[in-house]
Parts: sequence; structure tokens; C-alpha cells
Amino acid sequence: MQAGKNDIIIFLLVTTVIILLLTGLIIMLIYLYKKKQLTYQQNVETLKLDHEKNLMAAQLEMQEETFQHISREIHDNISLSLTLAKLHLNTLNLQEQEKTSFQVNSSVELISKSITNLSGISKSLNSDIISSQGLIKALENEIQRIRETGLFAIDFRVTGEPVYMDTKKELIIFRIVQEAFNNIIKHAKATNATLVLHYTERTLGIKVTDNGVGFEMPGEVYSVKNNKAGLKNMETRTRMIHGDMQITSRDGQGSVLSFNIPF
Amino acid sequence: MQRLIAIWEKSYYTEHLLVLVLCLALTISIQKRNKYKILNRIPVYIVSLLMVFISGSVSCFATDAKYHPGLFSELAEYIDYSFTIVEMVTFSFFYYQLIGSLIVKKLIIILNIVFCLFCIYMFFMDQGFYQSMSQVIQSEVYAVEAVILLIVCLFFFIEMFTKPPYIDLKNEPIFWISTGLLFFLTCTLPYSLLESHISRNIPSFYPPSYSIFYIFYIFLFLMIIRAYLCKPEKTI
Repeated sequence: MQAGKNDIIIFLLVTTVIILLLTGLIIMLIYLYKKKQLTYQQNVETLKLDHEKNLMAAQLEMQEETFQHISREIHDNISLSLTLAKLHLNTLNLQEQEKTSFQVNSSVELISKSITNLSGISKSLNSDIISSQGLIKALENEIQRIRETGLFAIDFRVTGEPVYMDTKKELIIFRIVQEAFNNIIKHAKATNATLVLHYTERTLGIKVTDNGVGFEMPGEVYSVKNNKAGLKNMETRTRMIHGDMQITSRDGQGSVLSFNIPF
Repeated sequence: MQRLIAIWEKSYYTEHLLVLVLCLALTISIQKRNKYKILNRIPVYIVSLLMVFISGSVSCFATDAKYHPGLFSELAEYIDYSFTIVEMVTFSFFYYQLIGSLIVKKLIIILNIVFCLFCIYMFFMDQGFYQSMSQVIQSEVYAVEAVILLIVCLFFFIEMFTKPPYIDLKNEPIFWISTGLLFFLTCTLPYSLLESHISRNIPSFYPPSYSIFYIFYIFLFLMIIRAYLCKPEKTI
């Protein structure tokens, strides 16, 4: 009888201890989880702030780049042409008819060239075409503008079913492609270039290739860590729209720029 | 009827309370069945447990039956035994959907297959299974079930605490059910291991001690009710 009572007491004691231990364990786990959650929330807030700062810095940098591009175009092309036209008109001698005629025609040509250049800069910087006609049309116009310079041939292809994205996103994609072609114009010395847009169900794949001089990179595929401003700009813009970028290039073997942009 | 009332008295009416809580849990689970898809199988589990109690009560009433007086008692024991498998499968499937690790998912499937085979083996190992189920066999099978579910439950808690802490525990139904299950399994396991010893050596303590099962089942189902009353997913 006594042994039976002892057994009952031990049994009840053990059960009580188990319950208390378990309750303590659950409370401790909840406390630790809440603490971990607080730290996690703080980290997320810090990351958000950092990301916003970086985004703003990137946007300011891009703005600066655009202003510099306008300044360069005006200085290199338009300013020179207008200065020359002014020089011609200043040195006009009405008594020498032939020379005067030549100088006037030359000035007209230079002014027309400046107007064309200004118009080209304006069109390339104007984002209205994106909102009115979409990315593909804007790219077609940009490629046509580059073809007219006669610097190199461009092949443009679109595969898959085109998807219309947010105007801001399409504008950023347009600027990325524009920057890629600017780099080919400035550095590549290419004779041929291709632009392929590949639409899938979830992503837009963009590939820009050229047969220019290429450049040396560590390893076969470069994950963009250099200080070249143009490439850095493209990488920043790509990251802004949650895409990823890959560059493949070898000295003397041209370059391939690939972008993968989720919708 | 007298026998039934005597059983209720000995278990301090915890069985009554459990049946009430089960009915409440069933009502809420049916009302809110579209709220959380992951809790779809809980009503089946609740109904299975209610069947165990109904069959147990019917067997008490039927002891005085003229024909096959032992039939209802046998049926009640078989239903009780089958319920162990239903419980195992319900909670295993519940955690199978939650746990992300492929290895643990495969482990859950393997453990369930092994457990079912073990149950069938133990059923036929019981020499008098065609007349009634031995309490020892039932306790052993329950103990194995409890250990398996405890391991799975612990894996879930480990995964929950190693992942980024973006869920709000207070409004997470899975947390409430897992806590209830953890308490239930941990606190009833010692009893099921000692059940045969208690029934042999302290028979007077056997019915009241069985109320531990009812008390922790009440706790489990209160947690299930709490799970259903959680506000929809709120992440940080």
C-alpha cells in the first residue's frame, strides 16, 4: 500500500516537473525568438535605409552623367560647328562673290549640322517616346539614329511575346541599352553590333554584342567590379530594376553584354 | 449507465470536459475551414477522436446487451487503436507541409510507413486480438507514436528558430498547435510508459491517472481553437 502511494507521489512529482520544465522552455524560446525578431527588424530597417541612400546616390550620379553627356555633345559638336559658322560669316567680303557664296553655303551647312545634332541629343534624352510608343519603338528609333551616323551596322531582333512594363522600368532599360551603344561608339571600334530582346514568361533577356576590340577582364565572365563609369552605371541601373548583368569580353574578340530583367 | 457514470467520476469528469472542448473545436474548425488551408485535416482528426469516445460510451451501455455483449467493447478498442494511426498520419501530414528540409520530409514518410507496419505487427502479435486489444500493446504503440511525433515537432521548432524570424508568433496558428502537441506528447509519454505498471500494481490509481490524457488533450484542443482564432498572416 505504502509502495503504491510512493509510486503515485513520484509519478505526480515527475509529471509536475516535466510540465514546469516545458513551460519554462516554451517561455524562453518565445523570449529568444522575440529578441531575434527585434534584431532582424532593426537590420531590415538599416538595409532599407542603406538601399535608399544608394539609390539616391545612383540617381544623382546618373543625372550628373547625363549633364556631362549633354555638355560634351554641345562642346564637341555643336559649339565647334557654330563657332566655324560665325567665323565664316564674320569674314564675309561681299566684293568677292564666289568666296562669299562658298562661305554662306558652308555656314548654312554647319548650322544645319548643329540643328541636326541638337535634335538628335533632344530625341535621345526625351523619354516621352517610351510612354507613348513603348520600349521596342524607342530602341528602333535609337538604333536608326546610330545607323545614320554610319559608324557600324546594327542588327536588332525581338524574340518571344513582348510584354509592356512600367514606363519607368522601360526608360531605365532604354538608358542601359543606350549606354551600351555609347560604349561601342566610343571604345569598341566595331563594324557590326547586334541587339537581341528575348521575352519569356517572367523575364526580359537583353544581349548586346559587338565585334570590336574588346577588353581584358579577369576570368571569362566578369561580374562588374571595375571602376569604369559607363559599366558601373549600367550595373547600377540594372540593380535598380532587380535585374542582373554579365559581361564577356576578350582582347581583340569583341564583347557580349547580357542582362536579365524580371517583369 | 451506472458503469459509465462511475468511470466519469473516477476521471474527475475530465472526459466530459474533453468532449465539450472537442465539440467546440469541431464547430470552430468547420466554421473557419477556409481560413487556413493547412488546418484542413483537423476536423477529421476531431471527428475521429469523438468516434473513440462515442464508441467507448456505447460499449458501456451495451455491456448488458443480450446478443454479443462483448462486441461493442471490442469495436471500441479497435476504434481506439485505429485512432492512433489517424492521429499519427494527421500530424505527420501537417508537419510534412510545413517543414522545408527535404531530408526531414523523407524521414517523415519513412517513419509513417514504419509506424503503420509496426501497428499491424503489434496488432497480430497480441494473442487475444480477435477478442480484445491488450492495454500493454496499446500503450506501447502510443509510446512509439508519441516519440515519432515529438521528433517531428522538434524538427519543426528547430527550423522555425533557424529561419529568419519574420512570423508573428502570436498570430501564427502553426505555433499554437505545435506548442499544444509538444505539451501533450511530452506530458502523456511518461504515463503511457508506466501504464501497465500502474494498472498491475496500483489499480485504484489507474482511472484517475488516465485523466492526464484527457487534461492534455483538452490543452491540445484549446491550442487548436486558439490557432483557428488567429488573425490572418501578419509578417514583419
